Amino acid sequence: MKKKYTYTILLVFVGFCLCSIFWKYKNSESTSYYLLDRKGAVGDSREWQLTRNYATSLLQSLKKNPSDVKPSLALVAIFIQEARVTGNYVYYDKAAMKYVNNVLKTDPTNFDALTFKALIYLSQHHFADGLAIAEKAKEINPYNAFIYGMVVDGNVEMGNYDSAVANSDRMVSIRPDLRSYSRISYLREIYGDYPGAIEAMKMALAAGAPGDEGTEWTRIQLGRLYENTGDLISAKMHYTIALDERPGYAYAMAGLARIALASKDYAMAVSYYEKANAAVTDYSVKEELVEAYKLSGQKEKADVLSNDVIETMSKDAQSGKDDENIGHYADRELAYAYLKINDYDKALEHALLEYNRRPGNIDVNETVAWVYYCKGEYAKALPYLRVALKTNSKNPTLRSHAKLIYEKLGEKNYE
Amino acid sequence: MANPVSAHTINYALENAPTQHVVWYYLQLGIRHIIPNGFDHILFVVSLCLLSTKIKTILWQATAFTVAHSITLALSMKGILLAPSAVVEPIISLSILFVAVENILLTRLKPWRVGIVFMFGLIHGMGFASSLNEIGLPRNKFYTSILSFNGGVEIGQIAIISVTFLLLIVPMGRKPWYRGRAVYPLSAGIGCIAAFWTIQRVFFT
Repeated sequence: MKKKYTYTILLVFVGFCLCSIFWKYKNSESTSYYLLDRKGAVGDSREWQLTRNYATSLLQSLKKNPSDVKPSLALVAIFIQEARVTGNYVYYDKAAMKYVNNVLKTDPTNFDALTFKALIYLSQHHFADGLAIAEKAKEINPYNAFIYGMVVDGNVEMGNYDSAVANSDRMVSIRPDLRSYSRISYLREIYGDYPGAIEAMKMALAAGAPGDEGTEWTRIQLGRLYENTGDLISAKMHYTIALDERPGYAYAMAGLARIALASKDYAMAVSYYEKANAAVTDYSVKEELVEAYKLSGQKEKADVLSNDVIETMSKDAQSGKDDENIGHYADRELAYAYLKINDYDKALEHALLEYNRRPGNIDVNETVAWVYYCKGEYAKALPYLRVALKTNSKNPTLRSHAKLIYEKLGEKNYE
Repeated sequence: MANPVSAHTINYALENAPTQHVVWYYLQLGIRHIIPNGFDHILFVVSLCLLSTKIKTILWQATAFTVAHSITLALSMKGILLAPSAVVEPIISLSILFVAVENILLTRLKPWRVGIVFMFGLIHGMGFASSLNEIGLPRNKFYTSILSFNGGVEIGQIAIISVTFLLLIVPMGRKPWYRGRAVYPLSAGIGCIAAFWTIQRVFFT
């Protein structure tokens, strides 16, 4: 009799849990996404007020007519832009994906929706999927420059550099603008042509309206190119202009922090990084702040932030498994984060996970090679390093890592 | 539910690797997925061994579990069956709880137990797929890699069953106090862990 009761209780509990699981899942599917408050100075701008009002009106029209494609796509565009401004890709990519999928449910060949979906996949580092969707969209409309941009990005990330060059040529022939010039610049940089990359990035910058997020992002990229060629004065000038044009712009502050770091002004670097970190959610900013803390002797803060970065990145990656979002692959970033806390085995595990997904990408190969170097397995680093150097990139980090690895292998003049 | 372009993540690096390398890689991955990484699967398999000391009983359940998880693993990786972790993971912990409590309530194999284990096996297979998807599969060696992974999972399970047999059932299974002093406390312990996971996964994630 007692057993019978226990059995009944067990069955009731199992039934209750099953109902809760499905109810919770169904509920999460119907979640509405809103714009979150912005942090720092960008939260007070007029542009933000307009964006917020526009998003509210779009959400209201969607409430009236949930299957309306136009407001859905407009909302997706806002979420994608907001992810870039705030760095909160986890939330906004999820939001954008929900509305994109809604549109594709009713219209599977909707060009704009496919383009956005490719963009979201690329943002989530699901590069193979992003490239495949972009190619599909390109077939639907082969005269749209923007989609060529997605194809270029996907090919770059997958390590198909020849295809990336071919598509960027096509892109610029359709529409010579900020987007196409900046991609040409990036490809030239990959192939080790820094003067050419700077020239193209200047053209991209000239094609944009000062103060726009896209334009100032481009200005930061130009500054970064100067930084990589050792021209810190020009780099600093561009970061300062960007901050002037867009007060509180996190990437401009991070750029100025790097300049301060290079001048060994660690207190200034930490101060800039902390402001940037408060304004944007971006692992790269956090990683650089860790380095700045270390250099300024604040080891404890560096360790806390390092562990926090690892925990948040792992959580972000996991979050995608639990809901509609497919999750953010952050294995390359995690590999570097684990290197910072000297956990080489975890670093290698994540570096190889990323390598399995895109074995042709030079940055991924550089990461694997560097992890092997840190583990003291220099010979194992070599094949990856060779792939990393295949485009003759002159990236200073890659070059310095290559020099160290080759030296350990007894080759002093590898070039 | 997300609809990725490919049914599964593609492991590009292994597409150019020799077949024996792929087999070895996924076999190891399958074993590691149980030992040491799959603590929840270990508890489930141990629970299957606790119902009875008869090898036939254990084999019936283990076979039902294996067949079921192989089906859903293959279907999930082919993209035919898609289930989010938000649903799969809590049900996996619920399955462990159910089997553990049932070990206390039953003394011998009932027909529905095999059916229930089969149903839970289907869910566990989706859990395996979710983990395997992170690593990805080479497109040109899809079946080789999935069979190797499954083989690794089986080796892991057989290892758990063997250890349970050697350390628990063989030396203590015939003792009159076996159920009272071994099965009940072990099942209760496993049940508590599973109940904690269930509540955590259902209500706090």
